[in-house]
Amino acid sequence: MSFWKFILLSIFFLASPALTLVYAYEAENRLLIIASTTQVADFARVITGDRCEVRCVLAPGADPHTYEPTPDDIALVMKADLCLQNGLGLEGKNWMSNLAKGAGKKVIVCTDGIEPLATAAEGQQIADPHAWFSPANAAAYVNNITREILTLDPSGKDYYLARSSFYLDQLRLLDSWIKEQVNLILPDKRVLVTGHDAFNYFCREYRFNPANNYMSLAPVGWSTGSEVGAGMTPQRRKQVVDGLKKAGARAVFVETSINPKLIREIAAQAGIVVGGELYSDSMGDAGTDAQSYIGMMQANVLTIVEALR
Amino acid sequence: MRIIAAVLVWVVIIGLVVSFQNYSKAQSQKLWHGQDTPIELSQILYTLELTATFAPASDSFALTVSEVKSEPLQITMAGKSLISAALDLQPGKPQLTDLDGIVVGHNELLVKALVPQSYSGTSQALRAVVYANGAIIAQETFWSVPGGDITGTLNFEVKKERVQHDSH
Repeated sequence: MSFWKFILLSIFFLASPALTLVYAYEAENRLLIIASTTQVADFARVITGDRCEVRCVLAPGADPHTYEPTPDDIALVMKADLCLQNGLGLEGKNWMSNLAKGAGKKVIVCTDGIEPLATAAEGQQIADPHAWFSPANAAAYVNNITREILTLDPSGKDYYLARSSFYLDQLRLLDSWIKEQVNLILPDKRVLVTGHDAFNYFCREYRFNPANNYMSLAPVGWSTGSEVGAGMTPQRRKQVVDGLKKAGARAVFVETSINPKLIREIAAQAGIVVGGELYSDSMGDAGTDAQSYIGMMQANVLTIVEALR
Repeated sequence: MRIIAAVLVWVVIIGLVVSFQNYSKAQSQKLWHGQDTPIELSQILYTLELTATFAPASDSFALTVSEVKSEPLQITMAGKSLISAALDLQPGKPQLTDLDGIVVGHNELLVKALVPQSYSGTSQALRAVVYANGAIIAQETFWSVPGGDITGTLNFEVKKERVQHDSH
């Protein structure tokens, strides 16, 4: 072996482990952000890119209303630099807030500043937590997260602002695209019936369910848990079936994170078809069209428009 | 014979048109470069005229992080604003504003206008014209996709030789 070959090989064998160590060190030292839901985690990933590691407590398809944290979740939150939650009661029994509090970590409520839609139940006004179904509200989530990340990691200010600004433009286009798609359905035919009351913001924004004051129609209330105004009641079920018949609805929709049995029964009772599956409280698995927030909204809108137009 | 006459007439007409165009261009260049009366760069007044089909305004999709708020209308170069006062642009009404910070060499103005959600169904346009002492040196019309903002760049050169010559 010549001298120069020996030198080159030595450099290669010495540099490789060194570079690996540098990379591992950088990865290890990234800020760790823990999000409660898949939507919030997606917003955080889009804003922070490679500068932070974002982990989500809920797996795709899991129900945030009834979720019970595990010991692994506690261990995860213990390592967090920042915790993010949806708020407005989406995380049943405040599980994310409790996890963060227990670990002594700061938790940000992403719906801060959003004017919540309220539904009346049992003499109480209940704020609907599914605010992300309006892209304009999603922009508020992005602004809230960005604001906090800038405080946490000011050295990445230009990076985060550039990413946020680009994403807000995408949300603006998403909103415009949804309006264009929904316009393919006659206003009187825009009857959206889903498994639970998750689509109020969507209905209000895109003029669905005119007979119900542009609010969601569902046999189950705002939560699948046992909170006030949550769960299924016979009156609510009757209201949905009557509403379907009166409006001449073409289809009802099941949700990916909710047992479809009830909505299938209602479809049979009203004599209409199940129009497809919508993503509601959770986004889709990695590799599906709904693995991102924008992808999830597009998938939902295409399913709704195809079934109702 | 008739064919030759027709060709001659056409040649004369086209020649006159081309000559007129060249003359107009030369007059415009003369005014801009000030060949007869040399002027300093600092003596040139740069003005921007904007005409939009909409009134730029912030909406729900604007970046509202405390220290960096999205202005409804931004004219920037290298991250710095070139207009000192906020413009209240109204649909169809041209508005003039002074441009600060024009440099010798290549200038690239980033023109960004937020199109409010109320205009989301249609494409919107913004026309930008840059004047140097009243002569047009660059102009461009920017279009949005329906629902999108307007973002574009306006490029023009400010000649170095002229300024060096003028400074003597």
